[in-house]
Amino acid sequence: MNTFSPANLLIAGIYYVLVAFLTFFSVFGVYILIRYGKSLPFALIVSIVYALFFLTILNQSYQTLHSLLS
Amino acid sequence: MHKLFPSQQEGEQIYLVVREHWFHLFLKVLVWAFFAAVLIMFNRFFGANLPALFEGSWGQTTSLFTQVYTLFLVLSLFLIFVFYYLNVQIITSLRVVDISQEGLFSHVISELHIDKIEDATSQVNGIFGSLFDYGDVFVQTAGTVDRFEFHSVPNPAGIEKIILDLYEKNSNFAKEGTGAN
Repeated sequence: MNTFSPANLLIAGIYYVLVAFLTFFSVFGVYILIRYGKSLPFALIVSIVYALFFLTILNQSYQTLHSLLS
Repeated sequence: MHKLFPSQQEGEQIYLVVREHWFHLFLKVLVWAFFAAVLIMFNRFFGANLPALFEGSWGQTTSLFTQVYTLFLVLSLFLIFVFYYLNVQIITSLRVVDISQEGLFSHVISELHIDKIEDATSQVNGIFGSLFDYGDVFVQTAGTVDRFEFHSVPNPAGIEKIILDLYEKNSNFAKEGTGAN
């Protein structure tokens, strides 16, 4: 990954800030769902389905960032 | 015993567990669907009119933007569901409990004992409220305690009746217990 170019550095910086923000709220959302949800199995199923979607798109976006900056 | 709220007592009977009406959830999902449609329209419109935006290094930047935008969409749909699921009102034989997830970092549980109830009011507003039978229930409490408010709950008149019936039952039981007429 070439982050020496200012434009690349900016894109990578914005990407990582946004992803950190989204990941933090995702993890906290899953935490409160499991912590306060009335049914643990239901909360786990919803969390796993959400994590599957979120991580798949996150992986795709990371691959895109990688090919954009290489 | 599986507890619905932390202070639930052994043998405390649960009469009603109520969440926001599905139509309110539907309205939130509709707003979410608008933002999802913006992404689809963006891809269709610019794909047809500005194909350069989807080719080469610009294409990768656009792709990265749409993927991050999709992450926002997935997260917001998840949070809409989490807030819907965690905001719940419970009516038991002893009390009315309002469990409120006011944000990601604020979880409030308010309890009102049946014998502290002074009055209950239900209110249905608007076309959709009348059509789908949802509205607000206000429970007036004794003393300086604020009134309890249930917003956009289904069948507000039924909930009001349950609360008042419980109050009547409780006050009759108290009168019999003390031997008063």
